[in-house]
Amino acid sequence: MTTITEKRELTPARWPLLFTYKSRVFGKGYIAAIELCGRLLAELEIEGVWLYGVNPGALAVGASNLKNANVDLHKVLTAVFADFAEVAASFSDFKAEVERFFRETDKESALEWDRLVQRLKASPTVEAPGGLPIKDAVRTKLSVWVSEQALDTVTPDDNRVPDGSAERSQLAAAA
Amino acid sequence: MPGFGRVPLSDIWAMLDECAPGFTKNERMHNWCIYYGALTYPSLPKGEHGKKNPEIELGHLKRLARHFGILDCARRCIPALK
Repeated sequence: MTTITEKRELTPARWPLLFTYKSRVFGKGYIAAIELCGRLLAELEIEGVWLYGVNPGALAVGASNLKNANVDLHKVLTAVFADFAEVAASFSDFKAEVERFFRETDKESALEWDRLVQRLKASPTVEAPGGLPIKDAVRTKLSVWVSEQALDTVTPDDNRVPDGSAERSQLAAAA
Repeated sequence: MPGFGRVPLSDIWAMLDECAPGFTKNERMHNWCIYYGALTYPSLPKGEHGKKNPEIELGHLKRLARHFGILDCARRCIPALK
């Protein structure tokens, strides 16, 4: 019993994560560039990992491991933004919807994220899961940035291949 | 409370009827968008294409219930959440 408890303390099943996301979405007569720096709670299970949103709160991503979760996070967010673009009548409506989505969270998840960061800070020898880099939770500012792109700023480089999406989303443990 | 495991979409609607009275939903291109009070959950997957009552992974339900502040009620309605 003691061994199991010690093991749990050394390799926690729940982690506070930070993520960045960058993409472009096509709407009704506009191109929107979106950049996020948000928060997630990662829960490691026997079958894989779940990422639960804190900012944005209305988000969950399940995958077999953190590497796949990173790719899927990008896909899930892009699908949500494509849905927003489908119904938004204008760029300003789209922007407001993305910002509201990012900021909407529940207090319990935000408090849990803060508690887990404090636990990690108190355990400097703990290694982040999946070899994730560790980012300073205090110095990293949460942000949502949505801007309208002029057509002449779009280049062939904006054509994404499916597996390349992970390059535009990055996970890090927060401590 | 595991995230893996699945529940039929119809069970989620029944749970919301019980725990989030007055909720509304819109089917969008990729996801269901659900509204409850002042809150919105725009990322509930539509499930396997072509299925009338697809199964949805518990992780999505868990997050949805926590986001709407109805987790205790959701656990009573869907025992797999416990």
